[in-house]
Amino acid sequence: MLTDFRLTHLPEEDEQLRQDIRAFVKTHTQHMSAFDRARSWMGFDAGFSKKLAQQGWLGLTLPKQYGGADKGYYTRYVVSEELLGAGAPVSAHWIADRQSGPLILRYGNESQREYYLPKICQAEAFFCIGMSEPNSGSDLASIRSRAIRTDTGWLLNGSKIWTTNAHRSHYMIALVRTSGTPEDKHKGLSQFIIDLATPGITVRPIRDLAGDEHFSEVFFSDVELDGQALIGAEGAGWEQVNAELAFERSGPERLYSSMALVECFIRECRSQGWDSPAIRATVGAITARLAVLRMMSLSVTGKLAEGEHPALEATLVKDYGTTLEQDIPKMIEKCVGERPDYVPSIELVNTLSFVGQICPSYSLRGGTREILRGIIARGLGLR
Amino acid sequence: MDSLIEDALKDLFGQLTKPSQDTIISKEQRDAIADEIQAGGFIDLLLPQEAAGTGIMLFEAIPLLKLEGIYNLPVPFTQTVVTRAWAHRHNIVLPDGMTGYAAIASKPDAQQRSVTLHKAWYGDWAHMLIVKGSDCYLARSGTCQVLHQYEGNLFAAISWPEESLERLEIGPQAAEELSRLGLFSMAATIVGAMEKTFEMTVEYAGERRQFGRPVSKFQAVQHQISEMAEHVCAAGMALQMAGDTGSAAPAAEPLAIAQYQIAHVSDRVADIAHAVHGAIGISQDYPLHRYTRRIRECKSCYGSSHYWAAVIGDRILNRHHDTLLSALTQAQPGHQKHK
Repeated sequence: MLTDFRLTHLPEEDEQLRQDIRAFVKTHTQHMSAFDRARSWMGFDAGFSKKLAQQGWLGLTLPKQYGGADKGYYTRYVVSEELLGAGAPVSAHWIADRQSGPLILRYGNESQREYYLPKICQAEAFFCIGMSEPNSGSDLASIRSRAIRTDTGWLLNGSKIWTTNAHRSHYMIALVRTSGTPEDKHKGLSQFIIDLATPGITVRPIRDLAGDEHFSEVFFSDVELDGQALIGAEGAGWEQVNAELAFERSGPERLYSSMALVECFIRECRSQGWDSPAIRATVGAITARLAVLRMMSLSVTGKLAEGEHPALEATLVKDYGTTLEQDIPKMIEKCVGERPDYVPSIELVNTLSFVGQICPSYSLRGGTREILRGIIARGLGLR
Repeated sequence: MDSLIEDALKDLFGQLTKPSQDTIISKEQRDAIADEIQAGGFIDLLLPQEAAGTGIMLFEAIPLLKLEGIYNLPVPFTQTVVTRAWAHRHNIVLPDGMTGYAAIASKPDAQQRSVTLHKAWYGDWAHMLIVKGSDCYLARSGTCQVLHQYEGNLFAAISWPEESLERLEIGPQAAEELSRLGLFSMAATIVGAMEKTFEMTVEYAGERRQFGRPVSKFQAVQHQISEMAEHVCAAGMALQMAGDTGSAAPAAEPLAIAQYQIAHVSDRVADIAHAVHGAIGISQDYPLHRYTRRIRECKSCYGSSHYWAAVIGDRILNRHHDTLLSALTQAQPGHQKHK
């Protein structure tokens, strides 16, 4: 049975960090409207990331010898929760801190660790992840970008698409084919750390439906990579990527994407004196569902902290969390529209419109809902 | 220690409910089941050790309190267990027997000098009910009139002559504690029924073959069961949150959250179970409906999801200047450390 979600509390010492981070975030995001905050972990501000690094809040889980804080998953949870819950602009360092750093620590060789990890901790190396290709989205194993061995390293050709922050990151960790053909599926894939300043790389930002540019298309044309670019074992890319996804799917980023909108709506209800049974029920429903999801997410964190591998539970929480994140704008819109005589603030109208329009992306990024439900079904023994 | 008790209870409940799985259960069968449970001393398991209980806390007891739902036990085991522990704490002497809890929805009739409940949990059978209105009353089954017994035997409409209700001398705090325990134990049986329903659904999907393969191989079926898993896990977590208390009864806020979450997912869980089972799930002989009936009929007994959502929302909206994030991340005072 799958229902092994044990109630888990954050340790006292990690909770103590919370007020410091909250105060820091408050000070440094004062200028941001709910509309800005609603970008959540797509909000890019390299300066903010640098300030966080100066506080020692980047690379929290990395060892001290590489500039990290040697803290555990719980510490990272508190910091992530405070940043995301407030809609702080964390996008610049987010991927490096959450995924690339731990990946390099786990699969990288010593010189790769020494080179990249301190830069990640100092917010001097921003990363993006090159996964999807024009014809490989959910069917990730069918990718065609290919690196061929040369005397000095590798020669890379191909392209990536929908790569978040490719146009403003220093490095990409890309999954590409090093042997076989797309028909070989998972076999023959490897991961590379690619310096995006290398000749032969073209990055074209893609404007999204909200007018933002947060993802890009990246073209590789005879890109020469040195031997140090390969991370982990040649041909082990698929396993490495999947280990990485467990980090990605388990965190608070699957709860708080619509939080800026919720806070904005609650503030507005209070300041404008809006009240009705529907408003109370909506705020209560959102609160309850968030509270339960948060404890499910913490339960996954607890398992990670205990050295377990809760990939399945993480998948389940992600799907459940994004469902709520996507329900929130609809629930709030119904409340606002319940009283056509209310005059909502421009900030609320703007934020509601943005979240309502962008929220389909919540269940696309990091594995689509359909892929995730397939993974859960496999875990249940149905496939 | 509690896993030993859990195993013992599973064995006992498994035996007790086996003969009744396919038939309508009679009063005598229920009496026999209750006798066995009482003879084992299990109804006092939440009492302190010096009072011959196990002394375990509410949180640790959750797996035990879910068993009534998992085994579709036709007697109010869970409410009896929590009510007896509550009575012990407040020096109330309860007669032996299975005790139900009923609240609010009683309809006192001044002319007839009677009290009527139209949806009383095991009302036609329980040895006694504690009825909470503005005061708490002990109502014994001997004096009650059964007005209607609903299909499925879970609820009945009953009525007592006013003079037969015995007023319990307790303060408002004890009354509130009882009410929270009553809600919590109902939630535990619903979650138990959900977990059993889920297990049955996964199993059935693997067995039932159509178009030459098990229906579990169809993506449309897989995705529904995956969704069901999410809801059942969320309900289980919500129950744990409510049971995570430093005192004898759940705290108001996590209990409200659990009431909401469980009621919110109940129908979806039952709907998916039936969708996967097809027509067999609708038949009287197949046990699925016993569990889905529990899920559906119990979920709003003490307030619907809408009611509880409004209670929670009211509190949040009245926390002036406080963000929702700060409400969500506020450490629960008195929570226990669980390993």
